[in-house]
Amino acid sequence: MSGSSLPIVLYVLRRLVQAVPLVVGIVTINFILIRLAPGDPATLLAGEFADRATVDRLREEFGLNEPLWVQYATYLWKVASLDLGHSYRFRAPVTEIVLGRLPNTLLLLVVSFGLSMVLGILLAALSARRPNSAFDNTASTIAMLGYCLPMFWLGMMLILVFSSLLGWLPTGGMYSLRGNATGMALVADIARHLILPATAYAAYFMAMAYRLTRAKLIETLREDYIRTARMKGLSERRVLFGHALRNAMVPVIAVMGLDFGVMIGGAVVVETVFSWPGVGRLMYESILSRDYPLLLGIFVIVSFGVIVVNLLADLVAALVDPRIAYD
Amino acid sequence: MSGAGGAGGGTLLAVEDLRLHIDTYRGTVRAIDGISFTVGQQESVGIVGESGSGKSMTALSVLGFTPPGARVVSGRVSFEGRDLLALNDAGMRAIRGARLAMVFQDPMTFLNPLMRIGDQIGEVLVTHRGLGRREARARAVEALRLVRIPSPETVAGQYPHQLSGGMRQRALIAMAIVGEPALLIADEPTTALDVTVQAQIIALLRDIKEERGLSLLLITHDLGIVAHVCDRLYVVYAGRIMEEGAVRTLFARSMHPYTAALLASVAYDEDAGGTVSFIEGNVPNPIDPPPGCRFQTRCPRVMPVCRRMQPPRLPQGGDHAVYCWLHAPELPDVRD
Repeated sequence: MSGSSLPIVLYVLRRLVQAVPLVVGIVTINFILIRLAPGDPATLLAGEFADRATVDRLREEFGLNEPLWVQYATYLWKVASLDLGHSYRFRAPVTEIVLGRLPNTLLLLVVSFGLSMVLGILLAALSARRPNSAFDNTASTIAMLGYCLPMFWLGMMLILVFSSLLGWLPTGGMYSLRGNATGMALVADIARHLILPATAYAAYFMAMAYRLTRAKLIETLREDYIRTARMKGLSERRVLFGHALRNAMVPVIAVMGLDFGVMIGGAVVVETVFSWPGVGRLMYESILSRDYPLLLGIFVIVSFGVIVVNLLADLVAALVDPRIAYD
Repeated sequence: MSGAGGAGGGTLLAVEDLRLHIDTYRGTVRAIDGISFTVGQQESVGIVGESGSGKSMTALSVLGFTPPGARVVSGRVSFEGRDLLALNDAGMRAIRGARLAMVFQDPMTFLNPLMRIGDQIGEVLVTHRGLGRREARARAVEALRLVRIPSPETVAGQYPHQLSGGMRQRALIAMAIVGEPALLIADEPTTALDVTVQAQIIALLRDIKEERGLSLLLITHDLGIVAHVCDRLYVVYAGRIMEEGAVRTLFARSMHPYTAALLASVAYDEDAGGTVSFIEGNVPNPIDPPPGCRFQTRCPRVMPVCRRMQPPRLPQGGDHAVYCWLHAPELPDVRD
């Protein structure tokens, strides 16, 4: 446990190697699924009024004339060499486009995730102290709402109230159009644009973190070692945060890690509603325009991200709980 | 109450007429129904009874740990001159771990699985003495050495799951004594352990009591342990005391039929075909118990008066007292 960090390094390496077939599988399934969908990208790319020759030229250019298995083999090989191909629409390398959008999504994700975890866990701790108190009932009802309301609907309502009616915050985007702010002014501008999408995004995950933590915490507070902690004369706050919360967090971390995939799905919705220039909106747009290489590229990068986050969640859980062995 | 016997003199803990009721859907359970006992300075006192007799509940209510739904209906718990039942939460916290500490039944579940042993022990000193973590850890190692844990430095850095049951119970004892309390309450401290380990833990408790000059209140169902460790003994049954006195006296000439039955059930009787003697009948329903003596439903020598009136405390000289009509100088008239 303590001392050598070698077991951890080996564990991470093994987990990463184990992830390779998973990524290949995901790429394969997505490749097949997307070719099964109706519609021809060359026609779409050329536009409604393009002549036959233009369409044929585009087909040739993007290799769409090759047999499916050739397209697949070529694609796999390229993915392996980290070349995710060229986007039909943007006429630029997929990797470049996705990596360009990734920081925007990460900003939204990290802020929302941080917000939902901190607030969700804090409220859960206050609720679990006195289950069924007025505070607990209020918080639990609000969490139930956050859990049930569709993200896109909540987003639109937030725009309606805070942008259209009150005019306090921008309706979408990441920067003010006419702004050419720099430094702190730019940070403030982005923050203003971030508030609504982050709120819509965080509502669900905060509700989930709250419900999970509250349930686990109430259970943990009945454990025998909590009585030991009280026997020692510790304050209730110390008992709650020093002893109970840490124990309750172990399963919460695991579940939140697993649900990271759901968060990506949320990113598509929220970024589309708020015109946030991130990977989620890029994914939505590439579906609409049948930009296969771009869509597949996003899938690969996102699934890799999910795998990495799951691994991180397992590592954090192992860090919190010494009983989890790296094997 | 007679004065506390035993080694040290003055009374440290005095519980008077403690009554604790638990409200359930089926009615009010009289878990503790008027129990009085004392523990003297540096004295070792045992409370013996079977499961459900209220002995653990008594220990827990001294520390202010009453289960949900339970309320102390009456009684006084005075410890070092203070009424613990009248203390607020902060006052109670200042005493817990510092003056009054407890060792619980199951060492497997009473240690925080995510915290190093040394930190769990040191936390007592961080809380009560304001020590820094480093110093607290050093004192924790000392406490581990006191409970005879080999290589205490290593163990202080380990987690509970890395220790055996006996080691964990030693760690819990270290946690209880590190704050140098005046009274250590041990609630069935050996029940969850292997027999060989049980003997070690009992010996350890006795040694520590002597070395540290503290008082010990031992809650157990095991008369053998009491014989090894305690000066005085209270026999409880269904929330009431049946008999009390010096261990020697009670073992030599118990006067209550329940004490006699308990003593008989300890012995493994080779002559009787290797059977273990047990007490016939059932414990009375703690919801609406019958009037009179609690042991009437199982007592081999039950009399009409036992079904009507609760027997008074009958002093038998010294610390010895019995709650049984058999030893009353004259019986009240209970004819219908």
